[in-house]
Amino acid sequence: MKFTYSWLMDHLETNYTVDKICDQLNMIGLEVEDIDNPIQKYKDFTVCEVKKVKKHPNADKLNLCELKTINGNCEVVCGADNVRTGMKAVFAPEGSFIPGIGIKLQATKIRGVNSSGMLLSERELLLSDQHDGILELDKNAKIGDSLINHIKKNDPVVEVAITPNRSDALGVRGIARDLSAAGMGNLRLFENSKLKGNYEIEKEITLDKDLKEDIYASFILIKNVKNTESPLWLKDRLEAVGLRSINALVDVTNYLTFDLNRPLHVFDYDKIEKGLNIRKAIKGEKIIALDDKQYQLDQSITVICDENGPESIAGIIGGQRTGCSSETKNVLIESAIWDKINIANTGRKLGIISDARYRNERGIDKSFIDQGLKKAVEMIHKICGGDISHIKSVGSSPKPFKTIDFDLGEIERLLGITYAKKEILSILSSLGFQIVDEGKSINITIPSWRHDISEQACIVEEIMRIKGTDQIISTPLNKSIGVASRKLSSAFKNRSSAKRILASRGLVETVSYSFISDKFAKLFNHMNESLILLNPISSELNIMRQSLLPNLISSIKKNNDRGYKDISLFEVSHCYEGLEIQDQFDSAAGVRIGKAIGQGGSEDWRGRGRDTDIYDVKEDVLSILRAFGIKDDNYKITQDTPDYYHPGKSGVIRQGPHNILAYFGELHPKISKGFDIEDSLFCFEVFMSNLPNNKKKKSKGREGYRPSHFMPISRDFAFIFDEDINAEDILQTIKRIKNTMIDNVKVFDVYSGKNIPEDKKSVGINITIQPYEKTLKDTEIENISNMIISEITNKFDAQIRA
Amino acid sequence: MNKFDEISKLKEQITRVISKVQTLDQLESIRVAYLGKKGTITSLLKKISLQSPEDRKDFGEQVNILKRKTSEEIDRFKSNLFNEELTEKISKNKIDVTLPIPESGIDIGKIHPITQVTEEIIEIFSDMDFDIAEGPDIENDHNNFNALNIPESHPARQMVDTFYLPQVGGETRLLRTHTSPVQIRTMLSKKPPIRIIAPGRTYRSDSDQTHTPMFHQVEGLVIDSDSNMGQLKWVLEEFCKAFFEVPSIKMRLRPSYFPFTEPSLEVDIACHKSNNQLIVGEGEDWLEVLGSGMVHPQVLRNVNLDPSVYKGFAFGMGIDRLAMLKYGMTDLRAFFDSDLRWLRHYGFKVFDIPSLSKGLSE
Repeated sequence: MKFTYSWLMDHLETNYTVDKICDQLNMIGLEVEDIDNPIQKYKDFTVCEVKKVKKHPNADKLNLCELKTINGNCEVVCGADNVRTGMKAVFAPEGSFIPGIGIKLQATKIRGVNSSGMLLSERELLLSDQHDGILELDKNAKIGDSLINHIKKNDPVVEVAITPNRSDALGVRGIARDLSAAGMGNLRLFENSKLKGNYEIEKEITLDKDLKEDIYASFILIKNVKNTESPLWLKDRLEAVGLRSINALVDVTNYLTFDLNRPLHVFDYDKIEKGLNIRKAIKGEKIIALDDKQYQLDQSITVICDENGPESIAGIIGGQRTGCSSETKNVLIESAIWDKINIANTGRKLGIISDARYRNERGIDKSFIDQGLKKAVEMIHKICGGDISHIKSVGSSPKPFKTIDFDLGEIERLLGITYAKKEILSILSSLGFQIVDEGKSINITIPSWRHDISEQACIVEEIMRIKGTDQIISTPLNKSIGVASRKLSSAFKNRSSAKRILASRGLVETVSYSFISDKFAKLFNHMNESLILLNPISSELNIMRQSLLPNLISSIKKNNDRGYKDISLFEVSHCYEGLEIQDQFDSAAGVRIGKAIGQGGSEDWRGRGRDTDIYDVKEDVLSILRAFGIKDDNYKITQDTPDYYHPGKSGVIRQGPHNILAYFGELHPKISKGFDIEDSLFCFEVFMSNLPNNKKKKSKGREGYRPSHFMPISRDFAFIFDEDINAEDILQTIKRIKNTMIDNVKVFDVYSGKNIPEDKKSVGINITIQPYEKTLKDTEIENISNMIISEITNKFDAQIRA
Repeated sequence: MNKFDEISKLKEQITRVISKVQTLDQLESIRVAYLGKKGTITSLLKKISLQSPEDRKDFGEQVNILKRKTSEEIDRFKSNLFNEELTEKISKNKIDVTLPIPESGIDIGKIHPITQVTEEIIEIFSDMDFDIAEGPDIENDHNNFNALNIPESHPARQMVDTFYLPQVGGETRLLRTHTSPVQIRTMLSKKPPIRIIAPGRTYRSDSDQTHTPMFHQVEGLVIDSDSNMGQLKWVLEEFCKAFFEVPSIKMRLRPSYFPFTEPSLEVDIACHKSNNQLIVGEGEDWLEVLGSGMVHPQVLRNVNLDPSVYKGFAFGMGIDRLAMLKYGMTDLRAFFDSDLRWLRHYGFKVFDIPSLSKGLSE
């Protein structure tokens, strides 16, 4: 909502400057978005006289002008054709800000000649688009006089953001009323129109009986108008608030929309076939509106029709066929109140944004329909002349708002402050509330223009914003007695820990959108129809992700393209399997490519480094699992990963048949190709929501522990296995041997090739034997060794290597 | 020659010989020559018992002193020689210790500013006894709109551009446009007093330098029988001071409108620019940081709380925006762009874990 300072003065009698007024607007809830103040904008610009014009020595198209300015004589370079000796022009000194170019003027040399200032065009001053030459001022203008005295556009323009509840402030008068209540001046008296017509409108105007909505519409006809251009003052005001002047009839309706928040519509009476009827549209009906677009209507939409069909979409936009032009002789003016909800729904359905819709869906003054119409007719009559009809109304007058019983104690209850009753009453009445004093409580009649006041809290807000929020006194919240309790859920804490664990392993955290392109969802076989956005911002972001990997891989690609080769990224966040709350799950995923940087695999003077491999991402996964207390024998690794992993080089970490803790492995080459990546990518996903819930133990105490006094013994074994025997099975077999002295089992070597038969591999295993009771004799050690050898050779059909 | 003279002569001789020793090998042969099985001193020791009783004590004493001194002298020289030889040997083992060492995992890994700032916010509100709540990203329109006093036709629905998903059993599903639905979920699941914050992802179909289709908010909600606007002001002031780590902050509360609060306030904090850096807390310019207000009585009724008994306040702010203000990023889109250069520059070190006792940030 825009208005000019002088326009505001039509309604408000005040001595406050525009800056003071804007400060106050902010503090009463009408947020100032912009002040365009010419006095401020043009403060550096003054009248100068061109004393002499000569050619620039080094440029044909430029002139060197000697000026007489407020600062004395100076020389500037000027390229304008119209510059000539003796003319008065606008001088911009060094250091001034040129609004039309958006720069601060610096002392400069133009083609080797000093230029100490600038002569300005209308465009450079943002006065118009004119840039054919510099602005010429009246020849009698005094040198050094401020530019502001020589231009018409000297009225400050203020733009306020009106919140959806405050429809009453969508008119200049509403803003003036608020300012006056806040002590910024006196609201000027509004003179009701005493207009009387002298004939009846001949064409019939009716309201369909079947219309269920509360509608009230009034019409006045003016015959024999001369639809001319609007007077200058009207044009200027409309232009200042960003509207184009069209003709007097249209301009007046626009003016009243902004001035009194009274949207209106004008019909060319002669183009109305037979009469007007307000009804619901019939499915299939169409209208070409004043915006030159055609709209398809249906039975939810209220329209004003004649014999030809819809001529106006009620309260939103008029139709082209019955619109007014410069030829219009007889004009029918409409002022109405429509159903807010219906206007909002229609507007949204048809996608029409208009000043009328904006106001009608927020609610306009219920008791200013006929008066608003008469004000418009008076204005039109004054400009265009003509014969005025009697007013013709259809529908029933709108019901007033309910009254509110207001307990004065509510102010203290909600705000923590008290005000004298006198003050409260004075504020409310200056805002237009009518009050019946009932002692401890008051009975309040809500003004016909305030659609936002529904209960006591709303009244408290009125008092708060007019008295000022600086009156609110900071009051500490009470704190719990004693030491604070834990605040975070396990899920939150786990995500937080996982992030730090992964970052400590050299992965960089990313945060990416929760939606991805269906192209990638298809690639991952994640095309769940229920997760497709109905109104995505683009096809790149049109489906909720089921995995964090697509975004991570895209990021690898982007960074790859910027020249990075060794990249490790992770994200810990939500993924979605469906639309219910339980379908949202937490995942911690990462992707690595290139050298195993941060894992000691960086390329440096010691060597060419080491390429990332699947065991790096396995370690990423295990770092998280181990941190959450999951020991290596608490899970099983299987190889049935989803299709986007390499079938032979990936694993599933699971607890029991159904609970999957993580995937890790090389990305399937066809997926990498889908992202246009050549090199091997290694990735992992830990399903945080599936991690076992650490049951709350009664005691934080741990099991007792007594270190052994005896030296541990280390023994190496090498076996030859079939190639497809898994290391995990071998290790588990040894760990399961019932001997408490077998303490630690490690694989120290895996070898196939020379000296090993085809389809076989040699696995070296190191076992630590930890005696607790006494030092072991050789025969006792021998016994344990033999137990291990026989267990392994029997179970796996393996051979011990000599 | 007197046998005592012989001892003292031997003593001189040993001292002289040892002093000329160059190598450990020479020293060893000296040790053998004097202290070995057939060594000079060893044979003198053997002679002690042959001495006359009156000489025996003196002689024995002197020989033993000689033996001890010689042995000590040899050890001393041995140690010296060993050190000299070692020094000589390793002096040739010089390497270039200035060769660079690549960054380790802990140096390379970075925490995203959103994670960091969220944890900072949690630290501060935890200290004011707020619990941390969460809600789902995919919401229904009841929790996101209706229960928050934003019915279907309400113009406020057009204040935000909502992403919609397919319906479930006739019920609209959408991506939450704010964290406020967590207010509803919390009030339905627990009885007052309530004191929570709810950080998380939010979505609006918008995209430019300061808007991205996804962003982060943190919601605050306090419900009690004695909550009021003064407490809201205190909480916000305390939060802003702690978050921006300044001793005082100039703040402005502007009346505003949110459908789910009444009265509603927008909060600005003072700022100014100094050397192209934004200084928060003082100055002539204002920055809008959050929206807040007393919970609308209709919202309380919607969750079966009696507004004549309970009241409360709520606030919501953009986590990303707070991060930008505190740490100086200028383009919101970069947060979600995963550009390694940006992540390395603005990311946080692994062990910079926000904590009030250790200081919120470095």
